[in-house]
Amino acid sequence: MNDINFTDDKLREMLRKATVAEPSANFTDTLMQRLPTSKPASQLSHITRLQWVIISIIAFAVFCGLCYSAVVIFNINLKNWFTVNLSALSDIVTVIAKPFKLLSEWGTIPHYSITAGVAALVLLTADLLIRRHLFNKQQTH
Amino acid sequence: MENSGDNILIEQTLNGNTVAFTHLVNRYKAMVFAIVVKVVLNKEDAEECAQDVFIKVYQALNTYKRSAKFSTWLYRIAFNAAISHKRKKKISAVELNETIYQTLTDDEIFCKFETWNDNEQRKAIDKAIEHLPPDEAVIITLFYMDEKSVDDVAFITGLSQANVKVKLHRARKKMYAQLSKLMEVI
Repeated sequence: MNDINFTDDKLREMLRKATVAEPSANFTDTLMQRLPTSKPASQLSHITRLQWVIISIIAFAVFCGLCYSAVVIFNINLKNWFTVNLSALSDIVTVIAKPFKLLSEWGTIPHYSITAGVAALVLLTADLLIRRHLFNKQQTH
Repeated sequence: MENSGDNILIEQTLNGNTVAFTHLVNRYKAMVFAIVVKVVLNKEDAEECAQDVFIKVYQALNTYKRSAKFSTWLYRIAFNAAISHKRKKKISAVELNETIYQTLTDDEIFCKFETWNDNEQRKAIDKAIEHLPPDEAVIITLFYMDEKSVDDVAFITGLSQANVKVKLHRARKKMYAQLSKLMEVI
Protein backbone atom coordinates (compact mmCIF):
# COMPACT_ATOMS: atom_id res chain seq x y z
CA MET A 1 0.00 0.00 0.00
CA ASN A 2 1.23 3.46 -0.83
CA ASP A 3 2.45 5.43 2.19
CA ILE A 4 0.96 8.80 1.21
CA ASN A 5 -0.41 10.32 4.39
CA PHE A 6 -1.22 13.56 6.20
CA THR A 7 1.28 15.22 8.46
CA ASP A 8 0.16 15.63 12.09
CA ASP A 9 -0.10 19.41 11.83
CA LYS A 10 -2.18 19.40 8.65
CA LEU A 11 -4.63 16.87 10.01
CA ARG A 12 -4.87 18.68 13.35
CA GLU A 13 -5.71 21.89 11.53
CA MET A 14 -8.31 20.18 9.35
CA LEU A 15 -9.88 18.42 12.33
CA ARG A 16 -10.53 21.78 13.97
CA LYS A 17 -13.24 22.21 11.34
CA ALA A 18 -15.00 18.99 12.37
CA THR A 19 -18.41 19.18 14.02
CA VAL A 20 -18.04 18.67 17.74
CA ALA A 21 -20.75 16.24 18.76
CA GLU A 22 -22.70 17.75 21.64
CA PRO A 23 -25.17 16.00 23.92
CA SER A 24 -28.64 17.52 24.22
CA ALA A 25 -29.18 20.66 26.32
CA ASN A 26 -30.99 18.76 29.10
CA PHE A 27 -28.25 16.09 29.36
CA THR A 28 -27.03 17.20 32.81
CA ASP A 29 -30.55 17.67 34.22
CA THR A 30 -31.66 14.21 33.08
CA LEU A 31 -28.46 12.71 34.44
CA MET A 32 -28.86 14.36 37.84
CA GLN A 33 -32.38 12.92 38.07
CA ARG A 34 -31.03 9.46 37.31
CA LEU A 35 -28.21 9.77 39.86
CA PRO A 36 -28.56 7.59 42.99
CA THR A 37 -29.82 9.62 45.95
CA SER A 38 -27.15 8.31 48.29
CA LYS A 39 -23.70 9.86 48.10
CA PRO A 40 -20.81 7.86 46.58
CA ALA A 41 -19.47 5.18 48.92
CA SER A 42 -16.64 6.36 51.16
CA GLN A 43 -13.51 4.27 51.65
CA LEU A 44 -14.73 2.86 54.99
CA SER A 45 -18.23 1.89 53.89
CA HIS A 46 -16.73 0.46 50.72
CA ILE A 47 -15.43 -2.45 52.82
CA THR A 48 -17.45 -5.42 51.69
CA ARG A 49 -19.48 -7.68 53.92
CA LEU A 50 -16.90 -10.44 53.47
CA GLN A 51 -14.11 -8.08 54.52
CA TRP A 52 -16.11 -7.16 57.64
CA VAL A 53 -16.45 -10.86 58.48
CA ILE A 54 -12.70 -11.45 58.02
CA ILE A 55 -11.78 -8.37 60.07
CA SER A 56 -14.21 -9.44 62.82
CA ILE A 57 -12.78 -12.97 62.91
CA ILE A 58 -9.20 -11.68 63.14
CA ALA A 59 -10.14 -9.14 65.84
CA PHE A 60 -12.03 -11.84 67.70
CA ALA A 61 -9.08 -14.25 67.56
CA VAL A 62 -6.69 -11.56 68.82
CA PHE A 63 -9.09 -10.63 71.61
CA CYS A 64 -9.53 -14.29 72.63
CA GLY A 65 -5.80 -14.79 72.60
CA LEU A 66 -5.22 -11.78 74.83
CA CYS A 67 -7.95 -12.78 77.24
CA TYR A 68 -6.75 -16.36 77.42
CA SER A 69 -3.19 -15.16 78.01
CA ALA A 70 -4.41 -12.85 80.79
CA VAL A 71 -6.32 -15.69 82.40
CA VAL A 72 -3.30 -17.99 82.24
CA ILE A 73 -0.69 -15.39 83.26
CA PHE A 74 -2.62 -13.86 86.17
CA ASN A 75 -4.23 -17.15 87.13
CA ILE A 76 -7.68 -15.56 87.18
CA ASN A 77 -10.54 -17.65 88.42
CA LEU A 78 -13.23 -16.58 85.96
CA LYS A 79 -15.98 -18.36 87.79
CA ASN A 80 -15.32 -16.34 90.93
CA TRP A 81 -14.64 -13.15 88.97
CA PHE A 82 -17.98 -13.21 87.23
CA THR A 83 -19.90 -14.26 90.32
CA VAL A 84 -18.33 -11.67 92.60
CA ASN A 85 -18.21 -8.72 90.21
CA LEU A 86 -21.43 -9.14 88.30
CA SER A 87 -23.64 -9.95 91.23
CA ALA A 88 -22.35 -6.85 93.00
CA LEU A 89 -23.72 -4.52 90.28
CA SER A 90 -27.07 -2.74 90.26
CA ASP A 91 -30.37 -4.51 89.66
CA ILE A 92 -30.32 -3.96 85.87
CA VAL A 93 -26.82 -5.26 85.59
CA THR A 94 -27.73 -8.21 87.75
CA VAL A 95 -30.42 -9.15 85.25
CA ILE A 96 -27.90 -8.95 82.44
CA ALA A 97 -25.37 -10.85 84.49
CA LYS A 98 -27.69 -13.71 85.28
CA PRO A 99 -26.84 -15.73 82.18
CA PHE A 100 -23.14 -15.27 82.95
CA LYS A 101 -23.70 -16.36 86.49
CA LEU A 102 -25.49 -19.41 85.24
CA LEU A 103 -22.69 -20.08 82.82
CA SER A 104 -20.06 -19.66 85.46
CA GLU A 105 -21.87 -22.14 87.63
CA TRP A 106 -21.97 -24.55 84.78
CA GLY A 107 -18.53 -25.90 85.49
CA THR A 108 -18.05 -27.91 82.29
CA ILE A 109 -17.86 -24.79 80.08
CA PRO A 110 -14.25 -23.75 79.51
CA HIS A 111 -13.36 -20.20 80.47
CA TYR A 112 -12.62 -19.06 76.93
CA SER A 113 -16.23 -19.72 75.89
CA ILE A 114 -17.37 -16.95 78.20
CA THR A 115 -14.61 -14.73 76.86
CA ALA A 116 -15.73 -15.56 73.33
CA GLY A 117 -19.30 -14.57 74.15
CA VAL A 118 -18.20 -11.25 75.62
CA ALA A 119 -15.88 -10.63 72.65
CA ALA A 120 -18.66 -11.33 70.17
CA LEU A 121 -20.90 -8.86 72.00
CA VAL A 122 -18.16 -6.23 71.99
CA LEU A 123 -17.55 -6.73 68.26
CA LEU A 124 -21.23 -6.58 67.40
CA THR A 125 -21.65 -3.40 69.44
CA ALA A 126 -18.60 -1.84 67.75
CA ASP A 127 -19.95 -2.80 64.34
CA LEU A 128 -23.34 -1.29 65.15
CA LEU A 129 -21.75 1.91 66.44
CA ILE A 130 -19.59 2.28 63.30
CA ARG A 131 -22.58 1.71 61.04
CA ARG A 132 -24.69 4.22 62.99
CA HIS A 133 -21.84 6.74 62.81
CA LEU A 134 -21.55 6.29 59.04
CA PHE A 135 -25.30 6.53 58.61
CA ASN A 136 -25.46 9.75 60.67
CA LYS A 137 -22.56 11.22 58.72
CA GLN A 138 -24.36 10.42 55.47
CA GLN A 139 -27.57 12.03 56.70
CA THR A 140 -25.82 15.27 57.68
CA HIS A 141 -24.54 15.80 54.11
CA MET B 1 -4.00 22.81 37.41
CA GLU B 2 -7.04 21.26 35.73
CA ASN B 3 -6.39 18.05 37.64
CA SER B 4 -6.21 19.79 41.02
CA GLY B 5 -9.54 21.48 40.22
CA ASP B 6 -10.97 18.07 39.38
CA ASN B 7 -9.62 16.64 42.64
CA ILE B 8 -11.37 19.33 44.68
CA LEU B 9 -14.65 18.62 42.88
CA ILE B 10 -14.13 14.86 43.42
CA GLU B 11 -13.55 15.36 47.15
CA GLN B 12 -16.69 17.49 47.40
CA THR B 13 -18.69 14.88 45.46
CA LEU B 14 -17.44 12.15 47.79
CA ASN B 15 -18.68 14.28 50.69
CA GLY B 16 -22.15 14.24 49.16
CA ASN B 17 -22.07 17.54 47.25
CA THR B 18 -23.97 16.77 44.02
CA VAL B 19 -23.45 20.32 42.69
CA ALA B 20 -19.72 19.58 42.51
CA PHE B 21 -20.51 16.50 40.44
CA THR B 22 -22.64 18.65 38.11
CA HIS B 23 -19.54 20.79 37.46
CA LEU B 24 -17.55 17.65 36.62
CA VAL B 25 -20.30 16.49 34.26
CA ASN B 26 -20.46 19.87 32.50
CA ARG B 27 -16.70 19.91 32.14
CA TYR B 28 -16.44 16.50 30.49
CA LYS B 29 -19.83 15.67 28.97
CA ALA B 30 -18.88 16.88 25.46
CA MET B 31 -15.77 14.72 25.23
CA VAL B 32 -17.45 11.67 26.80
CA PHE B 33 -20.30 12.06 24.34
CA ALA B 34 -17.85 12.49 21.44
CA ILE B 35 -16.10 9.22 22.38
CA VAL B 36 -19.31 7.27 22.88
CA VAL B 37 -21.06 8.49 19.73
CA LYS B 38 -18.09 7.45 17.58
CA VAL B 39 -18.46 3.88 18.80
CA VAL B 40 -22.23 3.64 19.20
CA LEU B 41 -23.00 5.58 15.98
CA ASN B 42 -26.42 6.72 17.17
CA LYS B 43 -27.09 9.98 18.99
CA GLU B 44 -29.93 8.72 21.23
CA ASP B 45 -28.08 5.57 22.25
CA ALA B 46 -24.91 7.58 22.77
CA GLU B 47 -26.67 9.99 25.09
CA GLU B 48 -28.07 7.17 27.20
CA CYS B 49 -24.70 5.43 27.25
CA ALA B 50 -22.90 8.68 28.20
CA GLN B 51 -25.31 9.13 31.11
CA ASP B 52 -24.66 5.54 32.22
CA VAL B 53 -20.94 6.36 32.14
CA PHE B 54 -21.39 9.30 34.53
CA ILE B 55 -23.59 7.23 36.86
CA LYS B 56 -20.93 4.50 36.89
CA VAL B 57 -18.26 7.12 37.58
CA TYR B 58 -20.34 8.59 40.43
CA GLN B 59 -20.74 5.19 42.05
CA ALA B 60 -17.08 4.25 41.61
CA LEU B 61 -15.56 7.65 42.42
CA ASN B 62 -13.98 6.35 45.61
CA THR B 63 -11.95 3.83 43.60
CA TYR B 64 -10.34 6.57 41.45
CA LYS B 65 -6.60 6.66 42.10
CA ARG B 66 -5.07 10.10 41.80
CA SER B 67 -2.07 8.65 39.91
CA ALA B 68 -3.87 9.06 36.56
CA LYS B 69 -5.63 12.19 35.30
CA PHE B 70 -9.35 12.17 36.05
CA SER B 71 -10.16 12.80 32.38
CA THR B 72 -8.05 9.79 31.31
CA TRP B 73 -9.79 7.56 33.85
CA LEU B 74 -13.20 8.86 32.81
CA TYR B 75 -12.53 8.41 29.07
CA ARG B 76 -11.39 4.84 29.66
CA ILE B 77 -14.69 4.07 31.40
CA ALA B 78 -16.54 5.82 28.56
CA PHE B 79 -14.69 3.87 25.88
CA ASN B 80 -15.28 0.51 27.61
CA ALA B 81 -18.95 1.32 28.21
CA ALA B 82 -19.41 2.28 24.56
CA ILE B 83 -17.75 -0.94 23.39
CA SER B 84 -20.03 -3.01 25.70
CA HIS B 85 -23.07 -1.09 24.48
CA LYS B 86 -22.05 -1.73 20.89
CA ARG B 87 -21.58 -5.45 21.58
CA LYS B 88 -25.04 -5.65 23.13
CA LYS B 89 -26.64 -3.91 20.15
CA LYS B 90 -24.33 -5.61 17.63
CA ILE B 91 -23.63 -2.44 15.67
CA SER B 92 -21.47 -3.11 12.64
CA ALA B 93 -18.85 -0.58 11.64
CA VAL B 94 -18.68 0.85 8.16
CA GLU B 95 -15.37 -0.27 6.69
CA LEU B 96 -13.61 2.05 4.33
CA ASN B 97 -12.13 0.90 1.10
CA GLU B 98 -8.51 1.82 1.65
CA THR B 99 -7.73 2.60 -1.96
CA ILE B 100 -5.39 5.56 -1.98
CA TYR B 101 -6.00 8.15 -4.61
CA GLN B 102 -2.49 9.04 -5.57
CA THR B 103 -3.26 11.90 -7.87
CA LEU B 104 -3.24 14.48 -5.06
CA THR B 105 -0.49 15.20 -2.56
CA ASP B 106 -1.30 16.17 1.04
CA ASP B 107 -0.44 19.81 0.21
CA GLU B 108 -2.82 19.76 -2.73
CA ILE B 109 -5.57 18.28 -0.57
CA PHE B 110 -4.93 20.86 2.12
CA CYS B 111 -4.92 23.76 -0.38
CA LYS B 112 -8.11 22.57 -2.02
CA PHE B 113 -9.64 22.03 1.41
CA GLU B 114 -8.83 25.64 2.30
CA THR B 115 -10.75 26.90 -0.73
CA TRP B 116 -13.97 25.33 0.54
CA ASN B 117 -16.31 27.26 2.79
CA ASP B 118 -16.66 26.32 6.48
CA ASN B 119 -19.76 24.25 5.89
CA GLU B 120 -18.15 22.20 3.11
CA GLN B 121 -15.01 21.69 5.18
CA ARG B 122 -17.04 20.52 8.17
CA LYS B 123 -19.07 18.11 6.08
CA ALA B 124 -15.96 16.64 4.44
CA ILE B 125 -14.14 16.11 7.74
CA ASP B 126 -17.25 14.66 9.40
CA LYS B 127 -17.67 12.25 6.50
CA ALA B 128 -14.02 11.20 6.66
CA ILE B 129 -14.29 10.52 10.42
CA GLU B 130 -17.58 8.67 9.93
CA HIS B 131 -15.86 6.23 7.60
CA LEU B 132 -13.25 5.27 10.18
CA PRO B 133 -13.73 2.17 12.33
CA PRO B 134 -14.95 3.22 15.82
CA ASP B 135 -11.67 2.57 17.64
CA GLU B 136 -9.69 4.61 15.10
CA ALA B 137 -12.27 7.43 15.22
CA VAL B 138 -11.92 7.52 19.02
CA ILE B 139 -8.12 7.49 18.81
CA ILE B 140 -8.13 10.35 16.27
CA THR B 141 -10.54 12.32 18.48
CA LEU B 142 -8.48 11.82 21.63
CA PHE B 143 -5.10 12.45 20.02
CA TYR B 144 -5.87 15.38 17.71
CA MET B 145 -8.96 17.00 19.18
CA ASP B 146 -8.41 16.49 22.91
CA GLU B 147 -4.59 16.51 22.53
CA LYS B 148 -4.06 13.44 24.69
CA SER B 149 -0.63 11.79 24.62
CA VAL B 150 -0.05 8.36 23.06
CA ASP B 151 0.40 7.05 26.64
CA ASP B 152 -3.01 8.35 27.68
CA VAL B 153 -4.70 7.08 24.51
CA ALA B 154 -3.15 3.65 25.14
CA PHE B 155 -4.49 3.66 28.72
CA ILE B 156 -7.98 4.75 27.63
CA THR B 157 -8.33 2.23 24.82
CA GLY B 158 -6.46 -0.61 26.54
CA LEU B 159 -4.09 -0.92 23.57
CA SER B 160 -0.30 -0.90 23.58
CA GLN B 161 1.50 2.32 22.66
CA ALA B 162 2.82 0.72 19.48
CA ASN B 163 -0.70 -0.35 18.52
CA VAL B 164 -2.02 3.17 19.11
CA LYS B 165 0.70 4.58 16.83
CA VAL B 166 -0.15 2.04 14.14
CA LYS B 167 -3.86 2.84 14.40
CA LEU B 168 -3.14 6.58 14.26
CA HIS B 169 -1.12 6.05 11.11
CA ARG B 170 -3.88 3.94 9.55
CA ALA B 171 -6.59 6.42 10.53
CA ARG B 172 -4.63 9.32 9.00
CA LYS B 173 -4.22 7.29 5.84
CA LYS B 174 -7.91 6.47 5.68
CA MET B 175 -8.87 10.08 6.21
CA TYR B 176 -6.44 11.06 3.50
CA ALA B 177 -8.03 8.52 1.17
CA GLN B 178 -11.53 9.65 1.99
CA LEU B 179 -10.76 13.34 1.49
CA SER B 180 -8.89 12.63 -1.75
CA LYS B 181 -11.90 10.68 -2.96
CA LEU B 182 -14.20 13.59 -2.12
CA MET B 183 -11.96 16.03 -3.95
CA GLU B 184 -11.78 13.80 -6.99
CA VAL B 185 -15.57 13.81 -7.13
CA ILE B 186 -15.88 17.57 -6.80
